Amino acid sequence: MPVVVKNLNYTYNPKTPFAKQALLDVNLTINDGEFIGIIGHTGSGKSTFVQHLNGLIKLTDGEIIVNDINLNDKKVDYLKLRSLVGMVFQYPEYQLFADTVKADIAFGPKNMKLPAEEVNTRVSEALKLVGLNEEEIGEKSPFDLSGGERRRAAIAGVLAMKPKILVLDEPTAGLDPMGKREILQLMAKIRAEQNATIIMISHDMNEIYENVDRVAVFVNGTIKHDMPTEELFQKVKIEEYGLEMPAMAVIKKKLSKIGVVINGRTVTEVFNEIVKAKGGKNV
Amino acid sequence: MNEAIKITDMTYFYRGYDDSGLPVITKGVENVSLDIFQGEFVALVGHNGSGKSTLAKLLNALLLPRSGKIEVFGMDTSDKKNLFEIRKSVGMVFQNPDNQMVASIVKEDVAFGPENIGIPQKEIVTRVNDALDAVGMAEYADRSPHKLSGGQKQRIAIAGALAIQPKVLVLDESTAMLDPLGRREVIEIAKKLNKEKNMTIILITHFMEEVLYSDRVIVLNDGEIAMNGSPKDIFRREAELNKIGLRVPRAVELARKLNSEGFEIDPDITDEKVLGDKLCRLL
Repeated sequence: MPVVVKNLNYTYNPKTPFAKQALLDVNLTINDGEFIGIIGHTGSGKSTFVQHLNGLIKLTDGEIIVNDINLNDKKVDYLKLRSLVGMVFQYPEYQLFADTVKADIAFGPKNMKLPAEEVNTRVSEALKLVGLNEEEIGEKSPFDLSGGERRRAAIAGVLAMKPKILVLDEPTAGLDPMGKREILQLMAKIRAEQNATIIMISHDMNEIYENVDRVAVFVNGTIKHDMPTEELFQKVKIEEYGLEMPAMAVIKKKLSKIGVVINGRTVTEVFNEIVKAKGGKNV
Repeated sequence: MNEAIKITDMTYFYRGYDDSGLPVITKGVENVSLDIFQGEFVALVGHNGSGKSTLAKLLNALLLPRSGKIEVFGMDTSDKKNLFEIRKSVGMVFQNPDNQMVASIVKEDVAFGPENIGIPQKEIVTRVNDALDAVGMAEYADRSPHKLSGGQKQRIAIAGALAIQPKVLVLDESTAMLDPLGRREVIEIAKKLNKEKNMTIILITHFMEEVLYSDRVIVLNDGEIAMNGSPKDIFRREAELNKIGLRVPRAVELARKLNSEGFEIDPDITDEKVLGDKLCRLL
């Protein structure tokens, strides 16, 4: 079942001189299995929005339904909500705390009061999913891992709770290009293997363009655009919102004006289609 | 050109202890020899853990070489009596803008540096005003830094470094946490300081697109210098870059692929707009 958000408003420090409206009439429906990107300038409300989805910020004005949980109900089962919606914050590796990688990953499932055996299975599965070798690093201190490994270990901690909906707030920030690619490949794998819904906040328009199906653009606390990725970057002047055009979208937009339509979004896909478009003509 | 920084056969390693209390040595940088000239704009790239930040910290004597030598304007950083002058010569701005704010009003935050080095009050005022002017934040002098955007906060952090009147400015992944507009703001300021004030800029980044603004790129791999050349020279060594976890900007990747496929396209194109226009003429 999908995530449905209707007429969501939120004000920080209400009824004080510091009151600041962070969300203004936000409406969004996210379907099962979707991979949606959320973009927008700093302070546009992206993080405030996603923190509503697992009840970290309590709903004060509007409607939110996550699967069968209605956040407007008087009594909300937050434990259930939080195992349903997994949240990976910015720089999640700063939240690693246990002595060993395995103990750290076990923290979530243990809190869900699962039996010890089930916890162990989940830890192993999560490690495997993020591509970390249990034998090699399971007993290591998380602080002995490399930057990219630490990030993946932190994500494993969330995956071990088997969330149906995974929210990631700038999951690739601060990683080198290879580390970024690993995280994005991991997200594709999670989606394929677990059939999870993925909601990703990112400031990197190239990675948004190459990976998500649909994009919601936050501007000053409200969703200004919500459309399929390709359509957004071809139709909307996103530079006006302090964002930038993905490199491949720039090239495709120019080519479409001379009637050459390219469908792919990665460098390799675009390359192959350009070669094909050139076809029999002499290069 | 005068050397701003002269590094000779420098090695630094971290000393630590493993779980059983035995000493462990972790490589930081090894056998690095490098000259950086006054007025140069140098980009420093490398995978996570390649030694970029270690090198940055060695530049202003936050770390001291275990062997070899580093001289900043002829001053050996290992000589304690040079410390004061070295720290004044090399300003640093780090990744997280929120960790670098020390005061609750912008101008006081910028004044923190000059106050610490005992600049007379009258001159502090001038320096603060000049520094804020240089980063285009003069109108925010009396505001609270906490209410600024990420890019604005980093500009204040840069102003704080400028108030010491350094000759070298090190930006250690200062754009990593920013949105596209914030990244552009920081890069523009760095370019301006380099052009107008002949300030030496050392930009550490994971965004290969940002490398394009530099005169010279230093690529670190496992603590050693793997490449040293102009952005064009570096991008031509795409396969080697990929091997050490880096990748060229997408437009460069596409231009190079098309060129080797036989297209009449300059493999050194770096701008997607130029590449798009060129393709429109070819297809």
